[in-house]
Amino acid sequence: MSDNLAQGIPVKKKTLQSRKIQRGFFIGLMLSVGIIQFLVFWVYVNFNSILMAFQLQTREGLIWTFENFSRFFHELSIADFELDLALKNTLLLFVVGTVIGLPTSLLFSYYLYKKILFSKFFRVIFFLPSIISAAVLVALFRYMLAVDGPVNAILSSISGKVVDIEWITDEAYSMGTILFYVFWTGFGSNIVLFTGAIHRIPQDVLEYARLDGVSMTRELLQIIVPLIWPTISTLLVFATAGLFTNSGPILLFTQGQHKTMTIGYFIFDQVQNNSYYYPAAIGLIFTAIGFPLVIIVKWLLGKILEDVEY
Amino acid sequence: MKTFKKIFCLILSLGLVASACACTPGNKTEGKKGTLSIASFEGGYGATWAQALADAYKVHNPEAEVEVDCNPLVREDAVTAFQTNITSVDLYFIDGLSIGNYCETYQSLADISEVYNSTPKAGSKEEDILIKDKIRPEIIPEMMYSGDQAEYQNKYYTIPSPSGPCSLILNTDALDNVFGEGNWSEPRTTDELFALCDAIAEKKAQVNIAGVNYTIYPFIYSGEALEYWRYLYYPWIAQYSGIDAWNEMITVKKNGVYDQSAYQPDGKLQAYQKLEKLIKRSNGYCDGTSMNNKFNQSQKYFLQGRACMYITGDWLEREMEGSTDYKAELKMVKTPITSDLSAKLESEYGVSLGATAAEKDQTLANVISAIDNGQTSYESVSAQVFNAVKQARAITFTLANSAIGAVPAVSVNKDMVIDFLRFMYSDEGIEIILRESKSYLPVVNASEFKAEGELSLFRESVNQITEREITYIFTSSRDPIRYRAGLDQFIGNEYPETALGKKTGAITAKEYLEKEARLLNEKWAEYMKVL
Repeated sequence: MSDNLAQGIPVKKKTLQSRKIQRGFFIGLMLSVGIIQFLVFWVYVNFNSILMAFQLQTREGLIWTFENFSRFFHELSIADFELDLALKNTLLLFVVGTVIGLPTSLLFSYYLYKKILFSKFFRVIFFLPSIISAAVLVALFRYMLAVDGPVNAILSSISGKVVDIEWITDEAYSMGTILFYVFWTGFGSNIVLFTGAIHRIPQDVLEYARLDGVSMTRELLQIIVPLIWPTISTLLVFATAGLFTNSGPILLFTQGQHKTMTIGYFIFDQVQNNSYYYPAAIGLIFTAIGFPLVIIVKWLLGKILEDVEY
Repeated sequence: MKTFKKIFCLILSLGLVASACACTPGNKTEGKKGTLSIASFEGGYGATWAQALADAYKVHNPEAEVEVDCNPLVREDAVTAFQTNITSVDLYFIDGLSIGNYCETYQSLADISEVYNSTPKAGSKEEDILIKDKIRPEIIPEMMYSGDQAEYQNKYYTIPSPSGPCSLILNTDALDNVFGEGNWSEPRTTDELFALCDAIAEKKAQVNIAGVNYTIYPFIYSGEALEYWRYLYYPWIAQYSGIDAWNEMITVKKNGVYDQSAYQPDGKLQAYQKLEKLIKRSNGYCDGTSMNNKFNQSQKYFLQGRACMYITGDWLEREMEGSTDYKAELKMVKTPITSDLSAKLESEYGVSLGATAAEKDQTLANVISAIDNGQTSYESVSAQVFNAVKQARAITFTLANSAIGAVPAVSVNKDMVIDFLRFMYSDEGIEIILRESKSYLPVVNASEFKAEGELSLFRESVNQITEREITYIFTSSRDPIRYRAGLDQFIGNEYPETALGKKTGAITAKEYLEKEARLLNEKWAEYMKVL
């Protein structure tokens, strides 16, 4: 007989309590890693960035000022500084990657879903950019588009003339080339999400529609799009949230030369040059613009179509 | 299920431990007393010189523990270390470090003035010269803090690591291919350089590489390393405007006072116009693939003989050792003197160097030859003109001020670092560095050191340049207008090499400088606010 029983202590209850404590301790320990990480790398970093936006290193040391904000608006007004071009390129990346890219991805997802001719071939083509690392992909892309690369060679043999287009380093083509790259590489992840969402649609819904003689266009626009609207709206909200911070593949292609500067890359470049206060202010300005924009987009998307549960 | 949970938890725990370890990537947060830890950037001068130096140091100091880590990511590691004041490394060898910024903002650099006031020492052998007297005098101020905070002034925070001259490099095989063996001459003036370019372009000679014929161009360059052009046109600015004007341009000061006009000395326009002429597409002086090329690609093409000239530093041969099978005969020559100098000398000294532009340039070239041959005068020009040309001829660009060693303030082995740096600047240390990096430390007695074995033509030519009377020039971020106010070497987003050399929408040198002046004027008030 144990001592506990001899003393009449409820052994089972205590064991349960101790197990609860152990469980709570274990859960707390597991969560603490995530919480600490969140506090350090999100709360602290963002809070510090906000503070830095109002700081400036001067001869007297660190001072509190709005100087970084006025500097940005001043530089934006200087035509030679080309910050307006950076803003324009940033918006172009959004237009091509999202406004054009998302609907096109949806179209191709539907095409893959319907298993029309060559769909398996195109599945590989579209997914390829998602599998290969960006650095390798850019290197391949650069090779293909080099002055003496395969693309110019093909164009030369088709036209019968020497084609020596500088796709990446001639400002007449550079931004267009980068936009094409963004468009092409953006396909993969969007198509994965869209095809996943389409496959979740109950088959009987689509069969009913087919029995009613619904055309493919109507099936896509009036059945599939409303049923996968939560996926579409989530992607649109994410794209809007990243509108101003999306630098595009500028670092790997041109480092902002050849009229390809974007706001995201401009901020990156400033930080690379050990300038932190000014880019923090630019980030804050675009957060101030982007945050309400995201709220508005989310509200509008909720108004266009209601979420359907199935 | 319970077993599964246990296994899952175990995997999760291992993951957490692994991620926690990842937070200290081989970087212990503080150094180990008694073990000297060196991190050296692996770049153009290779990966072996720091290790070889450490090995030799250990021979003299058997009790010393020295660890050397040499890799291409040391620069990034150093930035983090100096910004956080957390590192186990005692000595970083990197390129590019803003002393002012790291002193004022992070207080992360150790004062190593003691090294400069010590003598070089290899084991028991001590030299009878102070290290500060052994380093080239124009480099010395670059190693000191030069801002306006009294607590850092007159102290040394960095020390030069190996780095030599940067200049025009000729592929003599390619030139022989174009003109026939020896039927060409080195350009001494910019007019001669352009004449050589015209002659090469006119010949339309070809070289066969792996069965494909390529036209041989005067120049090839890389859009990825446009800054190499600066090794040519920066000296042109300094040759025409003088060293004082060059230094005023770097600090944007005249008579010690910030002044916008200092940013654009009179020689800048001429230098940019020459750059424009070299890289303007319609002139056909540069291989058409240049802007598209990666830097190692363009260097490989140069070695293959697809171009006769290339601009870079003395690291080229070391850098390309293992990268290509093509072993061309290369020769570094002194930067040709800007031909505009003759007109300036004429007006400045009231003399005539010839009746026509060609005659003036010929006189200038003759004076240069006389200087290169060690003469102290030239028959048809005055001593003043001769000396002015001599000063211009000495001007050579280098990165020796930015290739440096720096000690973190948190180092626990400063005494060992100082001792190691004393060894590095001993004659034995310099010889080891020369053997391994194929470059010199910027010392006044560089010509006394000879590399072992047979020297390549390239190495011989570099040695000849360093042996001659030279005055190094460099860009610098020492002044607060650079490191605190953020004035870069160029204002705006487009480099001059891009603006002048691009295929579509290229602008002229004059337009570029006008734009530069407008931008400087617009931002001047902002710069002044923080100074």
